[in-house]
Amino acid sequence: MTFREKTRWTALIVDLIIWAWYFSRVAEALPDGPADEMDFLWLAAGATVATIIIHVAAIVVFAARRPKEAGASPDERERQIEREAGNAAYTLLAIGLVNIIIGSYFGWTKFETVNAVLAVFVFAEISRYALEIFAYRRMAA
Amino acid sequence: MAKRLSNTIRALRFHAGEMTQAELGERIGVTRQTVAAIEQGKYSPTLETAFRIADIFGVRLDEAFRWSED
Repeated sequence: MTFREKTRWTALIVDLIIWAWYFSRVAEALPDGPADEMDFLWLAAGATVATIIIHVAAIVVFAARRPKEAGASPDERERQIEREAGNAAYTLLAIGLVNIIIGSYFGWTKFETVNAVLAVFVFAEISRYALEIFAYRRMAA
Repeated sequence: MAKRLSNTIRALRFHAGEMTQAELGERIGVTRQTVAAIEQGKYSPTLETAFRIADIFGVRLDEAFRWSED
């Protein structure tokens, strides 16, 4: 498994765990909305920071074991995988945001709209990692 | 019947002093996994990479790669 594939696996698992936890809290607060929306701002910020810290820590650990591979630029196959996954994720992001725009016209609250946008971004990112991993596995020996 | 890209890279590596996939990858600027994917027909290299591979083994492009029916 290449360095890049390992980082994608880590990112996928970490994002699924952390954001599933966050959105379970959001779901609990619906449909009446939270007592204090600022609490969820801090929760989202905390989830984002935790995600970044764990991602970086994983990259450092993997890079320490394979420094040459970690320092190398992606090769043509890796660039193709990243490009195709990125294009698909961007499409999902665009579809999601259009749906949110429509939803906001039908009376969504600020809390619902903000979290829907966050959910779409997270979903697009998780989809990108999943698609990259699928491509790596499909081409693996 | 549909045509597909095939190659003789594994044989070429063997006859080149049993060059490993990692060594070939190092010389053409791709990972070992990419070389493996090319050999198994799971990834089609760019034209430049295909020429680099043929050049390393001292063969023509059509000796390293074939576009033919299964």
